[in-house]
Amino acid sequence: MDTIQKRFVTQFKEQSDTLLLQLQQGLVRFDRDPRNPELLAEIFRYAHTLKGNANMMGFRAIGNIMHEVESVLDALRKHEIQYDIHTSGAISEGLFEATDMVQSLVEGVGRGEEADVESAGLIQRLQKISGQSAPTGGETTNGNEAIFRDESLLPLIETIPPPILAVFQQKQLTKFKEIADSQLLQLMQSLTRLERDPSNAELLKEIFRLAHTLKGDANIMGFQEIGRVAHEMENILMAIRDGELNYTADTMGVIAEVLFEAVDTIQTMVLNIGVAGRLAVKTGPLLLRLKNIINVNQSDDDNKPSIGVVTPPASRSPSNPNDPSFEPALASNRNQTAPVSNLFDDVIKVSVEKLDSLMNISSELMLDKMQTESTLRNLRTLQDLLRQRQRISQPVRTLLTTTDRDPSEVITIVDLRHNLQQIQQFDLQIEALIKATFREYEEHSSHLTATIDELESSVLEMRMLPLQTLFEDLPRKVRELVRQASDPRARLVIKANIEMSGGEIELDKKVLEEIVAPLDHIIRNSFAHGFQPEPSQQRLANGKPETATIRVNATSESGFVIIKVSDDGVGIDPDLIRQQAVEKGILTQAKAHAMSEEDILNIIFESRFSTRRIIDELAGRGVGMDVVKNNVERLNGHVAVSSQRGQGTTITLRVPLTFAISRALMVRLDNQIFAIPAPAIQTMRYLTADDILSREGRDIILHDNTIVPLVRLLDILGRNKNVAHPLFRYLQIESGKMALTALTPRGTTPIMSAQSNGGSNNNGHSMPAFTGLVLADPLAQAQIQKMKVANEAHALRQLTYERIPAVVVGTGDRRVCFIVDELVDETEIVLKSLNPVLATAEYVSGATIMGDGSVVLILDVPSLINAAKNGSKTLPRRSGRDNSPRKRILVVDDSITTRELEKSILEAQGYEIDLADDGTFAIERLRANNRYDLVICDVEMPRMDGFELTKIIKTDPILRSLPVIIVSSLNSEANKRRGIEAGAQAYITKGDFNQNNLLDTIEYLTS
Amino acid sequence: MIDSEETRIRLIGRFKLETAKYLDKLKINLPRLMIAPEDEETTRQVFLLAHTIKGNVAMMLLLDKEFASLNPYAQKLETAALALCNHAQRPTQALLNEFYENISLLEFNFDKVA
Repeated sequence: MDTIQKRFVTQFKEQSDTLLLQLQQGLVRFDRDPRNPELLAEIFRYAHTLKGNANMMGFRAIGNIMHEVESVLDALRKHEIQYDIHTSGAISEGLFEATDMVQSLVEGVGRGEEADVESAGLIQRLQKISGQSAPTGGETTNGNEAIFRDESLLPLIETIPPPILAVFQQKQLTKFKEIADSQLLQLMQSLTRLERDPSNAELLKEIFRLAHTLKGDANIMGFQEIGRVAHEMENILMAIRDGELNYTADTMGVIAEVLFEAVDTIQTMVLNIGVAGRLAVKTGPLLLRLKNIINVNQSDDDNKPSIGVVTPPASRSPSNPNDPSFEPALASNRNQTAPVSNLFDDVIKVSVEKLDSLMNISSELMLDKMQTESTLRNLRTLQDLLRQRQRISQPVRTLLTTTDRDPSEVITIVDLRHNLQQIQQFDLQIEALIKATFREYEEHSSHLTATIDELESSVLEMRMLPLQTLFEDLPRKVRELVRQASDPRARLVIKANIEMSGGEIELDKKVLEEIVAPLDHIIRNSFAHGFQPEPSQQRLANGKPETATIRVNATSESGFVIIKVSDDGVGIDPDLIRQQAVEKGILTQAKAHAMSEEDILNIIFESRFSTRRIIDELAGRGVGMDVVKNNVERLNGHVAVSSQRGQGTTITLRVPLTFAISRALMVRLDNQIFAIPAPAIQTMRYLTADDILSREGRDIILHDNTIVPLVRLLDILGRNKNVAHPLFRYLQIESGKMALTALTPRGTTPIMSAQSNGGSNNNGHSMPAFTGLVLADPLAQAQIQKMKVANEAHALRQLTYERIPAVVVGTGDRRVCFIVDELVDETEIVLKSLNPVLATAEYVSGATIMGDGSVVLILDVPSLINAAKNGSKTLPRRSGRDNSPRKRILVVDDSITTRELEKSILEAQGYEIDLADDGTFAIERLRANNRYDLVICDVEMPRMDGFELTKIIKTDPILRSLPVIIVSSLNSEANKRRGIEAGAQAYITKGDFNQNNLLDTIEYLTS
Repeated sequence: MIDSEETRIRLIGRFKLETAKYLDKLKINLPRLMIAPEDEETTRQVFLLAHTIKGNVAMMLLLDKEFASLNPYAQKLETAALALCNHAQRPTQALLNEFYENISLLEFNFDKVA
């Protein structure tokens, strides 16, 4: 294909893509508005143009299909065929199928493939539709079946070449799943509405239409099981519609129950499509139950169920075990049932409106681009002017630099004046241009900033989904919980309803995903602890409505959504919590009684705490509320509980609407900036020595009259030293800079440097000489320095600051005051996902890029709080100087001199040393005896070198946490980087270091 | 820190023995390179020997700064060996002479520091 041909083909593809899109959109609109002749004419025009283009380009297959599409549309236009309830399904399916096939062909053309598809089957069917023998619907109630299932679909598929068929089938499948998901969601919503309004005939019609469409689509795709279930649903709905089946308060409990089950089952089958390769759900018992609804209702009026909004399935009583409808198969199906919403998909549907807005922004950016070009032109002109000025001023400059000749020989005074005038003119021009460029640039810069802000907010908006996405699934969950909580045999009848408001509030998809589980657990808890102890009869006796209610109310408030989940159950008994907390050892007797009612309620969020004696499906494991708290805190949110005995409980979640953008406090720790998410911060303080108190050997402060542990943040981050140091490699990869400077703020001395000879850092703190040593952990050198100080006395007592910067984070009894080096600034940050390499790093939830391009890590406050609460304040001491067991080190070097020397140095410090003379032997020793605390190895060794040995250690599931120090005389930067990349925690160059460096590093890594 | 004189003597003895052994091996391998300049195995062996000698000298600095006098010769040996190994230089007579000269200087200074 030559260039011109290629250009025509590209043009054809672009035009065809647009026409196909317009055609498909037109067909969708036509399906809703079939009486609109202008719309039909418009669709016809698209088809006609596409056909003409294809024929002109010689793409006959496309032309032929479009010709038949045109014929169908023409027949519709001339009223030769009708587009009604009987024919619409077949016609629209035929037309859509044609557009899909043409789309595949056009894509093939774009790729330069042969557009030679056997389209005879499709053409034959379109010909049949267009008139000559349009389906009347007389033969069957479903026109779709007449055309697709029985006659033409299979021959059509057989005629399509396999590669195109695969794409075609996949597209159809995806489309079917999308449509079915949407239909099922509508079905679920409409059935819920029908329960409240059983006499609404329009609603019933709508449900019937949905079930009917679902059946038709499923049958077309060959999913007969889905079709059968939908068909039985259709029968029930038809019977209700025709008055053959009573759908009143008396009967609807059982009917709705089965219909909901049918929807759930279909949902499961749809979800299974493409996953297991089969629908993998037994529908036999459900089908029988669906059939029985009509049979039982028509033959046995005595079996009418009790009245209720949502009632337990009394008809599933095991008193009738021979009835196949009571088999437990469906219960297991229920367990497989996934949420109706597509919340957990990686795909977000974006409205055309939002895309249009993005397009507008991209146009604005084009404008900015043009303005940039204009500025660049100005700068070029300026450059030219300056050059000319230089040229003109040359005689003057010569005059100025000439000292040994008479000036009159160089330039006359007249010339000089003329020359200076010219220069002055140039200066005026240059000044004017600079001013104009400044103005233009300022305008441009402000426009660019506004456009980028708009772009950012538009993109963020696309990530937002309404809370309704999550709410949609709650009625189904409540129904399920009613079933689980009730036990008709024990006359335990629970009736419950759910009311929701605020579903229109939009949240970031990730935030929504995180609150699915908390909401689920809270509602589950309402049943287990609020409703089950007070069944319907009891509620009536207590003067409450028979049907319990859960209210989920969402409101938004300055970047947060407040979700209140209230129930009108029995409430929480604080005395029971106290008693259980003491029994489970969570609180001492004295503390339990000293705690306020409000504080005692918060015990429900403790892991393993439950007031239930028996574990069942609903509750009792003591994990639910723990999940609630953890998930919400992970979002930097807050959870609170309030309860009134006998009246009910309210759990309030406060979570940010999005965490893609958030405010954060920047703090400095050993010359590195970290971000603490603002929502997690209670307050920032400057502590004085008087603020620091001591309780039970721990440093604390009093904040809001409560005791808050005081911890140096660096002490916790420093504990992260024995991992594989992904932080280091992550930033190295991200910035593409040398490892030694990757984490160093601009203008400061590198934290780790092979060239560093000590001295002082920017804070004026004395830094030891770390010559010849490269550490993988960015915090290591500072940590070693801290460790030295701490070994002499308690670290906090060493503080010489007059005012110690500190941040109080967390809520309730999970508050910690962290000491930092400096409170830098509070700013807005854009959260970036962690590189997978960094995924294992503790205490880090993400990263952000600052205005100067530097990468700042965002601290994970909940995990820091856990670490602060669990951590020990005892700081490490060198091995052999206390009563702790001696640290064991394996020294690997092929040189006996080095082995013996290192052994002697280390043994003198109390370490226990084993020796190996190459990597292979070292690995054997390590695997035979995994009791080593550290490995020191050379690089150049026979059989297996030190890099290979390090790599093997770091990829061995058992040995990977073992710190490795490479001691080698290979001193190139490439080798040092190679060592660190292999996983070594430190690389020491022989001859360039002193014993103290080696010993401090070993102590740090083994402590 | 190594305070024991006994350990110091033992370590220096080890170092002398090992280095002498490696220098001897170098002396054996170098003429082979003249005969077979493309012999990768011998080239690699020469580099490893020179590299180990340099590493040992560097490590001995931890024991006594006096060993610094050996450092330049060990370094030159390794640099020359690396040039051979990287094919930056061919094993010419001039290069071999440089090797022998540094070996001799190392041996000579050994006696002084020990």
